[in-house]
Amino acid sequence: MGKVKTAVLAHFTLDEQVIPLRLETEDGARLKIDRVRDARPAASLKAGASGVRYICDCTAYNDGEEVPVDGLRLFRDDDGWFLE
Amino acid sequence: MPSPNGVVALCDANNFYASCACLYNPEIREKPVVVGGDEGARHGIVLSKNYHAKRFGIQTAETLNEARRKCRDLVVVRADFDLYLRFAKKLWAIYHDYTPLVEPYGIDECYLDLTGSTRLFGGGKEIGDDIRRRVREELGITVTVGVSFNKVFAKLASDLIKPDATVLITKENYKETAWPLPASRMIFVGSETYRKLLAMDIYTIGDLAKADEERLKLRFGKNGLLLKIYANGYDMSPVDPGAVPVNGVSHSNTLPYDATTPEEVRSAIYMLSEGVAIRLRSQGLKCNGVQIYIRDNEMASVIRQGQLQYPTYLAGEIAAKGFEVFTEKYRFVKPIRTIGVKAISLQDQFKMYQLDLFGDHTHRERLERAEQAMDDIRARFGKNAVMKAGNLGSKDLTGHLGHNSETNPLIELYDIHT
Repeated sequence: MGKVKTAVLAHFTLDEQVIPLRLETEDGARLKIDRVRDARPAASLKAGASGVRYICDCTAYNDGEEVPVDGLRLFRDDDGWFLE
Repeated sequence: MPSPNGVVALCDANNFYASCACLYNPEIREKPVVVGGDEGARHGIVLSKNYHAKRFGIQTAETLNEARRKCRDLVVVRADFDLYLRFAKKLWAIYHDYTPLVEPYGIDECYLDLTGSTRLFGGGKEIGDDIRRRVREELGITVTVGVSFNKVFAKLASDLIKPDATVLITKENYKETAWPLPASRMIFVGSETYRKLLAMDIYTIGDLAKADEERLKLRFGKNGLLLKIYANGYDMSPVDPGAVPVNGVSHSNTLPYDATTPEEVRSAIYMLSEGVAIRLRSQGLKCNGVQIYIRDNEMASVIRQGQLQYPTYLAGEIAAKGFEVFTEKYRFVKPIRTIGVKAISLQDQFKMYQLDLFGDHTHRERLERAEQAMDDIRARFGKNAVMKAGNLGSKDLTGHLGHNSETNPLIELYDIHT
């Protein structure tokens, strides 16, 4: 229901920021995060959660082919990471 | 003390429990939803409802069965107090971005003293609007912000328009906005007080503001004068971030089955008093009086109270007074469904008090040490690690020791029941 759980590799900075670097969805899609455009506390009404929303420009790997994915909405809340 | 030109806000999360439940369950968001207690344990009442449920005339505190009769498609969600606490903390974090002077008033309401914040963030209206926007965007729920020059009118303002609104009552407009409202809309005017005010031909807040002091004093004592002061906008009580909103420490419970004998009531009172005493000690408080709350199987409720000889945090003394009040001041005719015990007239545990010549205070001190030792054992090994033999049978009546009233998760935050 509008919520895709993801595994995330992230950089935990010294000033306690968490910056996602790579992610892998439950169905096996893998993406590299090239740039975090925006990160802020936000609610996801679609997915039903409240946490930190990252808007990311990514590169997806599809059968060896690199596909750009811009404006991906990645969330982190108390239950973990998910895509809206 | 607040300055006469102070800016006070009361932020009230709209339908708080139901809003949290709907946020996390998008599929029920457009349906009538109530958050209810545990029906199995006979706590099946409506704790909160969304606006769709409100349209069916569903009221907070009515039974879930009654609510279902009003709305067949009602969605009942089990209360999740951990979630509400998490959300309350997120709300408080937002409020603290605007002022350090934040006084929680229940889990879903907070007073904010914005007097010193206006130079940084704009006026009360601007700050209220900004808080609402942030809560909506960051948490996915809504708040109503009442802004005024004192706490009483800020609270009144927050009740005027819901949901998601900033409402102002200013020194310039309070006579037009607040005074025409029924006196019952003002905080501290409960249904009983309102009934008495009506009998005195006092209908509105304006009537109260202009009422004769002597008549009010005669009817309500000094509280009558306070009501007049509040109605005139002279409330000067400060927003106190360190204040624990406590006028008593209480435990109450709806019994798994109705109590029909004094012995059953006694067991319940003793068990509940144990929980009250534990919380008093954990807060470093003693009480000077005990209040009991009784609701029978026809939902008629009464409150009775009595004063203690000495301030105490001993469960036995609280329970004995509670049961004495029950036997002397309550006419036990109908089976009892809910019992509550509240420690009132609280004071610091170390405050001096007058001993008498003949009381056995050495024995009381020993009892205090014994109960403190029990607290230590519970802290190390769990709430049910040790209990008094007399309370063993009570466990079935009132649930586990230290059971918190499920309507007030603030207990988890303050360990205090307001």
